[in-house]
Amino acid sequence: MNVKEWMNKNTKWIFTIPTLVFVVGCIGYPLCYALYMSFHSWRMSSVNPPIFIGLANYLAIIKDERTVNATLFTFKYFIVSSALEVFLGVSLALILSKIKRAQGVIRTAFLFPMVATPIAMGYVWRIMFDSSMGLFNSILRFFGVSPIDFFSVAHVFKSLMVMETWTGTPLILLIVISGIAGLSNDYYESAKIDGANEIQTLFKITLPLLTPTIIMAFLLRGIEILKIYDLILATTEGGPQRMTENLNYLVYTYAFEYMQMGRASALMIFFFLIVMLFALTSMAIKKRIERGYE
Amino acid sequence: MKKRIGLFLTVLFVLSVTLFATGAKETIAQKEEITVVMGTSGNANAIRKHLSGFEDRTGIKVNLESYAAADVQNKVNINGAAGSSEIDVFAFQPTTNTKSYFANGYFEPLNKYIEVSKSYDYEDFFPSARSSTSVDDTIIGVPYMVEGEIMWYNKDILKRYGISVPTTFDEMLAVAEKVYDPANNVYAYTLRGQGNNAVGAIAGFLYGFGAGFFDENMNAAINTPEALKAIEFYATLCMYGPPGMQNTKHSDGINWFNNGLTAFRVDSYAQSFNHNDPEKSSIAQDLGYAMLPRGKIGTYTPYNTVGWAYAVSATSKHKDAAWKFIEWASGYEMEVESMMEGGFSARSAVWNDPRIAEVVNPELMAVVQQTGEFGYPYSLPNNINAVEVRALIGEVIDAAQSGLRGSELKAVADKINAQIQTILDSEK
Repeated sequence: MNVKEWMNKNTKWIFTIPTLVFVVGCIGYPLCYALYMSFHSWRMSSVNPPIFIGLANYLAIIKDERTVNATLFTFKYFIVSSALEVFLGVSLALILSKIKRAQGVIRTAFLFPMVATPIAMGYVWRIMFDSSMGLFNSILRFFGVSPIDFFSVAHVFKSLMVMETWTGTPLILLIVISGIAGLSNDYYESAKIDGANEIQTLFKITLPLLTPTIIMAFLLRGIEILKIYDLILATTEGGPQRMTENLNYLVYTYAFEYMQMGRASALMIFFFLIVMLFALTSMAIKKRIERGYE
Repeated sequence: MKKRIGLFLTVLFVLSVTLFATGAKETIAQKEEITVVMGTSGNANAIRKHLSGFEDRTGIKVNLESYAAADVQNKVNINGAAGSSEIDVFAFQPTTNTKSYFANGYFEPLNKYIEVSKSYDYEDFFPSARSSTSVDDTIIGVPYMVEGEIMWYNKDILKRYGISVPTTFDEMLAVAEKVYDPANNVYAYTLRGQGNNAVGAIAGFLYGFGAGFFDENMNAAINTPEALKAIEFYATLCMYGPPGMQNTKHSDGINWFNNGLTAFRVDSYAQSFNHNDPEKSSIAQDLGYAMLPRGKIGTYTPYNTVGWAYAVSATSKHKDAAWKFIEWASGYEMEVESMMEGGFSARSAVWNDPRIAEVVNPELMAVVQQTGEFGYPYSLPNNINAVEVRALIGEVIDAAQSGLRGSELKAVADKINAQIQTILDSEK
C-alpha cells in the first residue's frame, strides 16, 4: 500500500485525531486530574504530596453551609438573569427586525456590551453605583432623593441583575435576530391570506418557529451565567456577608486563596455536573421540539 | 586571478563576520537569565529605572514582572506547587505568606548568601522586619517595604468645621459627630468597611482595646470582650462615613478621600502616594498626616509590619544570580531610589539619608518613625492558613457592620471563633 492509498483509507482518522488530541489533552486530562485531586488533600505544597482522603472532600462540601449558600445563589442568579435576558433579548430582536432604517448602527449599538471586557465593565458599573460619588446617586441627590447603597444587603442582587442583563442580553439578541432572518416568508404570506393579525402571527408562527433558536441562545448564555465570575469579582467580591458568592467564585477562593486544592476540585466536579445537567437537559428539550416540527 | 582573490576575501570576510556574530550571540545566550515577580510598587518602579545598570554590570538578564498583590500570590503558588523553575525571585507578604510558603517548601534559605555578603549589612534592616522574614533561625526573605497604620486628614474640612485632629479613640467619636454632614456630602471617616477588606485596618483598633486576632498561645481570640468592643467601635466609626461604607473596598476609600468627601482616612501609610500626588488627588494640598489615635489602653497601637519581601524560589535554577539581584535591589542605594519613587524602606539607615528628607513630607516622616516605635508587628492573622482565618474574622466585622451589637454579635463571634480554633488546632 502506498502513501496515497493509506491516506485515502484513513482520511477520517487524519482529520479526527488532531481534534481528539486537543480534547483529551486540554479537557480530558484536566478533568481527570481534578477528579483525582478531589479525593485528595493538597495545599499546593512542593514538599508534601497529595494525601488520599477518599470522599472526605465531597462530604465536607455537602455539610458546608457556605457551599449550600453558594449553590442556592448560583441558581437564583441563573433563573432570574436568564429569564430577564431571554425576555429582553427576544423582545428586542423582534422589535429590531421590524426596523428597516439605520439597521447597522442600531444593531451595533445593542451589541456593544457583548464586546466590552466584562471585568472593565464591572469596575465602571461599580463606580456608577458608588453610594457617594456614583452617577446614579448623583442623579438621585439632584432630585432631592436620599442616596441608595446599591451594594447593601437589600439592593445588591438587584444591582447585579441590572449589570448582568446589560452584559448578557446582546448575545440572545444576536442569535434570535439571526433566527428571525432565517424564517421563510411563505408562512407569513399564508397567514396573511388566512387573515391573521400581527399578534396572532407572532404567537402562532414566529415564536413557535423560533423556539429551537431561543433554546440554543438560552443554552449558550445559560452556561455563561452559571460560570459568572468576573462581574462578581469586580463589583461585590462575593459580599456583603458572602451573599453574592456563587459556586465558581467559591471554587476560586478555595483553590487560590485558601490553597485547598482537594476541596476546590471536589466543588468543581460538583459544579461541572450542574452545568452538564443543564446543557444536556436543554439539548434534549430542543431536540424534542425540533422532532415535533418534523 | 585578482577577481578570484577578491571574491575569496569577500567570502572570508562575510564568514568571519557571521561567525563572530554567532559567537557573540552564544556569549549572550550563556548569560544567566532570571525572572522576578513582584508587586506593583515604588520599588518595582525604581528597579525598572535602574535595571540596565545591574544587567550591564553583572551580565544577568532580568525579566521583571510586576502585578497586583493577588496576582503575585497566584503566580507564586502555581510556580511553587508545580515545582517549576520559571520564577527565580518572588515577592511575598510576610504576615500572610511566611508560614504557609515555608510549610510548602517555596523558600530557598538565604543564610549562606547573607553570611558571605559582607557589604550588604543585613543588620541594618529593622529587627521586627528581619523577624517576620525568618522562621526560627532560617532567613527566608529580605524585607523591602514596611507599612504602618496612619490617619490622613483633610486640613480644609477640619478648618471649615472647626475641629482638630483626634488624639484618642474617644475623641475620634466626638469629632465624628461634629463633622458628619450628609446634607453637604461631608463625612467623618473613610475606613475599609467590607469585612475581609477591613481585617487589616481593624488591627490597630483591636490592639488599642487590648485585644488581638490570637492570644499569646496562638489560640483564637476574636470573641473576647475586648475584641468585641473594638469591633463594635470600628463599626460605629463606619456609621460616620459616606453611605455604603459597610460594603466598601479599598479602592472606594481612596476615591472618597481624594475627592474631599471625608475628613479622615485610616489605612497603611505605604499608600500615601495615592493621596499626596496632585494628579491623583484633589486634596493633595490639604493633606495632613497623623498617628492612629491612642487606644483605650493609653498608648499608640498602630500595626507596623513588613508589607513585602523578596525571596529566592527553592526551585530556581539560578539561585546565585537570584541572590545577586536581591542583594542589589535591597541594597542601600536602591532602597534610597525606591523611597524616592514612593517606597518605604525597611533599612533604618535609609531613613537618615539627606535625599529622603528632601522628598518625604516631614509630618509623614514623623508618623513613620513613631509608628516604628509603638507599632505592633502583625496587621493580619499570621498562622499557616492565614487567608482562611482572615475571611472568618471578616465575617465577625460584617456582622457588626450589619448592626449587630452586644450578645447578638457575641453569638456570631463565638461561632466563628470556634471555627478559627479548629483551623489553628489543625496546624499544631
